Amino acid sequence: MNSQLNKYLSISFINIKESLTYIWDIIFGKVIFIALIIFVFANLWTVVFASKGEVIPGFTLSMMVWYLVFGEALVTSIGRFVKEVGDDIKSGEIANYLTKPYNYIVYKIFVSFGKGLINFMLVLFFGGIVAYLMVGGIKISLVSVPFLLIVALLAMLLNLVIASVISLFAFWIEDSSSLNYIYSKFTFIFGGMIVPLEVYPPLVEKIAAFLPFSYSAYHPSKLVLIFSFKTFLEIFIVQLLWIGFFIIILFFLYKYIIKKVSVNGG
Amino acid sequence: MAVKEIISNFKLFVEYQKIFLKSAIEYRANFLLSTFFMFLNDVIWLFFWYLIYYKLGDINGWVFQDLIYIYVFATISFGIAGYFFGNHKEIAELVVKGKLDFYLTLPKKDLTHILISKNSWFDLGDLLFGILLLLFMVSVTKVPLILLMIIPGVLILIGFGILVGSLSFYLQSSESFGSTLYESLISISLYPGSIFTGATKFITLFILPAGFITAVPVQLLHSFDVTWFILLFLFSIALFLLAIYVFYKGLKKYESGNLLYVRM
Repeated sequence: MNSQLNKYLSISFINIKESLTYIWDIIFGKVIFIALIIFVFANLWTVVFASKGEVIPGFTLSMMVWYLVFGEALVTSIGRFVKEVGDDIKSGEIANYLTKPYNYIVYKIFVSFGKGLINFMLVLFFGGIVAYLMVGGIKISLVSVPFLLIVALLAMLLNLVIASVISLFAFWIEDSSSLNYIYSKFTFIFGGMIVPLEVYPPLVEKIAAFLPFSYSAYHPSKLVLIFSFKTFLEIFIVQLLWIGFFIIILFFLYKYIIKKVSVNGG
Repeated sequence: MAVKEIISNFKLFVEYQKIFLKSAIEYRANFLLSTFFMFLNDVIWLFFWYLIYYKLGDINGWVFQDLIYIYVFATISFGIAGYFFGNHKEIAELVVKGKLDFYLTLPKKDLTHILISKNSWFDLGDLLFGILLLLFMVSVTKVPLILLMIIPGVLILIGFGILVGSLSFYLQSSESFGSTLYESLISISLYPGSIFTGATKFITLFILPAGFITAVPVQLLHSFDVTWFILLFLFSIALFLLAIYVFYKGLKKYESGNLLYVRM
């Protein structure tokens, strides 16, 4: 068990190193764009706060913008995971992975987890610069940092596990780009990556806050801004439950698909 | 001569459209899915703005109906540019991977041929969404002016695409930077124009000219201003001509490559 985990962790580590090699490609190809979106929303909230004041009680202008920085850093870290896996399935490339001494989907999750850590830090850094220049900083207590890191890592893992389940649908729906598109939009909007869910009408807010997407964006990002140990524990437990739930679905779905792949001959 | 050229290009355009139609019928499941998913994507985004406006009422004076106008201008422009002139987004790839060879060895070696020889089903989803919005969510009296002001939007999208793509003639590694710029243009054009003020407004008009695709036309729908109307057309035509100039200038530096491709 331990050696299995070590094997996959080494895969993550190799991908961290690879990402560092191509760091400027990542910055120019993706991070600048995300920083621009943060800039646009900083403009939006600045004009809204100037005319209307606080949109959500207790959320200052800088909190709104920094919320987006954390949301973007968490959610976009997994890249175009659904498309990558979907393409492997569509092209039959998956057959090549099946001969290797690892589980394909677990391998993919750990690859993206490694790359994701670098993406996460880059967006946090560059997005943070934009946010700081436009609306100033925010206060985070040092004691909360280790807990926030745990929730952030679980948020990324949850996102990856859900994305894995969705990506396997490429087996039936061949268009993996579209799947990727729609899944990411769901996390952006109903996961509360862009704005805190309190901005939405109460019914939408309640439903979205319950859905698993919000545990990879809304709940963790809000925890950074308003930390309490009790909320941390709640989020931590629900994240574990959702991760477990999707792992079970993934297990059965993957088993079913692998059988079909062998029938098709890859 | 010029008339002859236009007719011959138009004929080629029609032929390509026939091929695209055949390919859509052949791969109809994929075609329908791609188109539908893009459509759905637009619906989700507009729903997001509906939710935001539900709480805020207006954003610096712009209401939800203005967002609908923005989506009409944006999606129809993206749709026309992407579906009928799909290669305007791919210039960098054509240059870097040596794929321009195909066009340069044919009798029709001009930019028009390059632009029209690719289509994207995604963008058709945009186009359909925009047309439906225009039919059901916009007052009929505004339709002629809207249709007229979509032309500069299309010119800017194609022009900007060619311009950032042509960077690859000069800088080999500018492919991802160019597409980031293009994505940024698309993205910024989908926000309410009222959030950009001062220097930011200037940037969104003259550097990343998203404002001319959506914000300026929406403003003109509210209060028509001849100066801005003329500026809208002059700017888009100037950008388009500049892009053509930069492309042909860059083409002289084109070195091809040694990769072999099968064009399917």
